[in-house]
Amino acid sequence: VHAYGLGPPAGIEESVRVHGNDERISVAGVRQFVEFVYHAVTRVAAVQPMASTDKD
Amino acid sequence: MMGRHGNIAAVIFVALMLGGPVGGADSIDGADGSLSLPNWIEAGDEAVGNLADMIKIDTSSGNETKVARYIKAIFDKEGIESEILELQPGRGNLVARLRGNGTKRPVLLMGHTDVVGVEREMWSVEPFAGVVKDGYLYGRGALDNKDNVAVYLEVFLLLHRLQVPLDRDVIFLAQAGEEGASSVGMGFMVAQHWDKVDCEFALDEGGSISLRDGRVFYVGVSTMEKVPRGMRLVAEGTSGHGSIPLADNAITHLAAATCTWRARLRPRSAGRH
Repeated sequence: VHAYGLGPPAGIEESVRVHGNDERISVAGVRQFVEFVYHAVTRVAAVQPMASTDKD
Repeated sequence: MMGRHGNIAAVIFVALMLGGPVGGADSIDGADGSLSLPNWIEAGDEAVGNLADMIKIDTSSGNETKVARYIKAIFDKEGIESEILELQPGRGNLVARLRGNGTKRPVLLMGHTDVVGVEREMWSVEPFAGVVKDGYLYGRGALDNKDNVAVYLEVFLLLHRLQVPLDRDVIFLAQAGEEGASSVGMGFMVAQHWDKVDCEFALDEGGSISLRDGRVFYVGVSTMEKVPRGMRLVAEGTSGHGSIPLADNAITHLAAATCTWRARLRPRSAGRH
């Protein structure tokens, strides 16, 4: 199984708190991450609209 | 299959670049075959709320089943079938599936619900309260890894509510025991419930999105994990009682070797593992 790791917007200021003190995440980042993952999943899992066959 | 790796990574990256602005509803009729888009504000509110609620459930000593029950209650309300699977009492994994048409093999959305412990006296806020302060949600698990659980949960709910037609199943897994006890989590699922998580590829934790001036600078997608590397160091020196350390004790040489290795570590920077 191919596995890909995704995560929300996070800078070094957030990363160093993981497993440490005052772990936190940007609220705006959660929102952006939802949108990002939704688009990613629908691109690979949703039935895609048929491409137009018009030649003009 | 490197080609497939590249293709999916590219899709993920392009998806972000093409994503609509964070804001109100982007409802599309769907008559032309295009997908209806969520109300991003409502979706974000719900994801943040679920993340805060899950942080409030202390899973630093197991108890992942409590989070699994929290999620299952949401699924039950939505009419989504799910089940909680335990190898040990209290260490539950929750799995659910949205059915596609079977054209392609499933994609698995997975995150872990256990967290490491805290030194409560070192925190400026209560670590299991889900405190929001200055635009940040604080708490153990906020970034490792209840954030992925909450966001994958939200996306799963959106796909269900919008009745997005799928050409592959989408599986949601909230796993237990990632922090050092994977035998009750992913190990258990692979060994005893592989049919419930078998997939073409999985989206898990590990990457991050880098912003500059509020805009996406790059999207980091991890394709591998660091693994422990044991090392055997042998030193020789004068033996003696530990209460009377000597300059040439073997342990002194080992300590010096460790410090030398540490001094040669390069500083962290973007793109370096």
